[in-house]
Amino acid sequence: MMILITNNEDVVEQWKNCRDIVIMKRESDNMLDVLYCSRDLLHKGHCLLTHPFTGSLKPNESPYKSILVSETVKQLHVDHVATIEQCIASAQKSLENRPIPIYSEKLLRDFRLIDKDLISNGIMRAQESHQK
Amino acid sequence: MKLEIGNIFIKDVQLGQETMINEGLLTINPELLAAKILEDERIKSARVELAKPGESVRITPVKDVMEPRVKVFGKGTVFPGVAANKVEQVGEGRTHVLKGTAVMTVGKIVGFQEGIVDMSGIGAEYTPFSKTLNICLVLEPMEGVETHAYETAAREAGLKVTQIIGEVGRNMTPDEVISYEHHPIPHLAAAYPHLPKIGYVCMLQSQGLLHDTYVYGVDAKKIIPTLMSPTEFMDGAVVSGNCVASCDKIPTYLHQNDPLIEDLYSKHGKELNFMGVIITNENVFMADKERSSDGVAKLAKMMGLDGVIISEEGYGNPDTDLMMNCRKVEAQGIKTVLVTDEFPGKDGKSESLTDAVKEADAVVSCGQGNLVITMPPMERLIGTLEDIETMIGGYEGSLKKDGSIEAEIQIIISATSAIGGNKLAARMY
Amino acid sequence: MKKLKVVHYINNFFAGIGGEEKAGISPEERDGAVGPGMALAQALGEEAEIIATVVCGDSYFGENLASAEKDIVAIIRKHQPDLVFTGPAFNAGRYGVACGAVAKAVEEQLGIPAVTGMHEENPGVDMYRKDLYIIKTGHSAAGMKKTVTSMASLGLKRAQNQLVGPPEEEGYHVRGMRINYWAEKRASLRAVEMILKKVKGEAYQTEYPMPDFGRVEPMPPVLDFSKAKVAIVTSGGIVPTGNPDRIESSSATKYGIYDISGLDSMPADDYTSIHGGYDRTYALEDINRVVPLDVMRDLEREGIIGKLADYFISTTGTGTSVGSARAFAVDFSNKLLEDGVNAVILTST
Repeated sequence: MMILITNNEDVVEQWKNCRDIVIMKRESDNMLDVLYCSRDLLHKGHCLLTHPFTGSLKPNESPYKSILVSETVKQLHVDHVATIEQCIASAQKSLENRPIPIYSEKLLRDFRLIDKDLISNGIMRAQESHQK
Repeated sequence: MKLEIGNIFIKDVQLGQETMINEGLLTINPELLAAKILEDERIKSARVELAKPGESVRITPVKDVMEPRVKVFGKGTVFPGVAANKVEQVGEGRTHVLKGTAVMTVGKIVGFQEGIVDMSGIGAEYTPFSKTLNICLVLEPMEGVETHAYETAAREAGLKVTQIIGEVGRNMTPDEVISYEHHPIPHLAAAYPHLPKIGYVCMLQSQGLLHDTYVYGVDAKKIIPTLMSPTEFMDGAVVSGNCVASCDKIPTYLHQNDPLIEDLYSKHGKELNFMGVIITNENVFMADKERSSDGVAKLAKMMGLDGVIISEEGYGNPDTDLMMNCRKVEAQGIKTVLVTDEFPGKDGKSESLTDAVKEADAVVSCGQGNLVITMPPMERLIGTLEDIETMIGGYEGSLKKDGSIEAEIQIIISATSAIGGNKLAARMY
Repeated sequence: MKKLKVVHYINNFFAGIGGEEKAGISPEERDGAVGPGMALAQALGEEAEIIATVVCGDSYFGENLASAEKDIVAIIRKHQPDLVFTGPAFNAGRYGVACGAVAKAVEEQLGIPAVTGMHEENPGVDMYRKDLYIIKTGHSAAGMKKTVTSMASLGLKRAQNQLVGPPEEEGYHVRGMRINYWAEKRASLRAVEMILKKVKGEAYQTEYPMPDFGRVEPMPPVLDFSKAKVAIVTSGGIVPTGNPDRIESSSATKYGIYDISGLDSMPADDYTSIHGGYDRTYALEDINRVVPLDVMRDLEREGIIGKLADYFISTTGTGTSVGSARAFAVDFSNKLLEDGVNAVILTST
């Protein structure tokens, strides 16, 4: 089983019926909440299955983020905790510099599409390798 | 393996009836090229426009940039395995290049990606493509075509047209011929036993839609690190499907003209022994990163390398791959130099990369992409300005009433590509 | 050309008012240049004139950060200077923090360029390097003349809107800003040259130094606390009333070791907090809130920990440099190890 943390409704729609995924849907208009939620899980001993900063879109460009995390809990994965903390610091700084603009629905759809594609690649890889 | 690159210097390009080269003037038939593109039903309209260095022209949104080349003799064709080309090993024989030209695909796939090429003004200083004679293919998707399908269609259209134009150089006598040799590793080691053995680790973008690269037509997400001859790049074995962040994408043109390969060759046999290229990817799945970086370190060790230069493509996720590659290669006792660009925020004070390891003590900077500049208005536009403010590097108010654009240099094609072809750098103040 | 107007900020010592006993004076002003301001005025030459000097005691500043800064900024604003200098503070920690705070406030609130000077170990450097131009100085005021010359030169450039050069040229501490420039050679060529140097063992210069994350490898966990001896260490500035060791309220240069044998709880009459970085009201009401002796004794009685050490170790965290903190810990860890301490509870504020 894997935990998928996301604020992207298209991702939820795509993966909601998948038996090996538990979805944690976050309601937020930027990626910070998804990052915080993932970090909290990592502190408890879950580990990252996908990199938090998928894609070239910066935190103050795309509002959407999806992260796959293991369901199983092992010893604290220090490197992953360091990674998520660095991503959080980078995202906070980015959003401070300039917040996400108000986008048209068409553009938001495009952002959701890219995020969905990138995370789906990660999920499929995780399924292929029976990661838990 | 020996590849002879025959450069045909193109001094000017024009539209006309015949497709030919005469004394450095390339003539192309725009209708024929457009018709070829429109054979793909996924594309609604196609138009050919020209942009030359120094002109007051703005081209946007740019997808890929490719260099017209043709395989004159030797196995295979340019761009093997893509755009309906057969898959055959390339990198040997003779390839002609229409030097000084570039083909650009222009037009939107999604609302926010790609960027700008200005042919004059301050924006021109930041992109290598203000210095090429650009043959721009302005494309529009057919209504209802799904994004993945249209991305493929646009990519293939660009490669096909580039190949057609390159074909013109087949029977010409090049203005110069440069020979690139690449021999089996034991041969190289024996030829220059006293020179340091240097390898080039080329990281390829491989995350998903609009973030992909193809090697002999294989999606780079699916590869494990492997060995390549530098001459395979010159024949277009590596093709770009990456068009999200303009400034640090490596368009196909730069894979064909990899500056690290050029500069390593320039010192090969004199100051160093250029042993070859290891390609690797930048997948989103963490275990894939571990696998790939393990593979890179292993190959570097198997090649008997003393040092490697590692380039990357992208920001964020790829920074983690870059650091993993560095740490694991250094752990094998092999020295590393990393080539990267930076995003320290508008004030330049944040961390430039999202990851760091203490072994990364030799880094070359390709500049920071958050610098804001104002590009003057241009008289002619190829493409559309409608998405400027949602392009990476743009923001609300970027597009001014007078047509000038105030934006981060992130918006400029290949302004900071971490493959090292530009002189832009950043330093600590 | 009109002479630029300059205001200079210094402390009690450099103003010639007095030493540590006068460190508690509140902000006041003098006409013209005072103390090191004279050397600064000379370095500024004909281009600028020090019209006023603001003086404040280092302890006063450290214990009244918000109000002191407000008052000092008000005095400076009154004079409408073109340029402000603070310090130089050399290696004096509290002074460095004050110089940095004043300079930063002047830049941000008044929009006036400010320049200061500090030694690299001064905690003010790490705190303010990103916000300010801090000229590199030696350890002590022996280097005053050279320092004010550099400060003057940089200050004049800024006040005259000239381009400021890189740190090595102008003599200021690296600020940590990444700024673009056009190199002579393209990056790929620089990479090839760098790998050759590195492989041959020759010296090379990285173009982007990795950030120092200061990772400390964690010790393996204590397996059985019921057998462990535990000590309390605090950076909360808790000391016996009267502060016998004269630990500073910020930028501490020492730590103290204080006996708690026979005590079940921290007695509010015998202990106090001298830490300048937090509101001490709640700490003074109940010292156990910073040094949790009462709870530790409970744990000891219940057998959850084996034994509590007979003493606690204390210093002030605020404004104290990483280097100093590390040095204290290296020092008192020896004692902890000798006394058989297995684990430490660290309290900070």
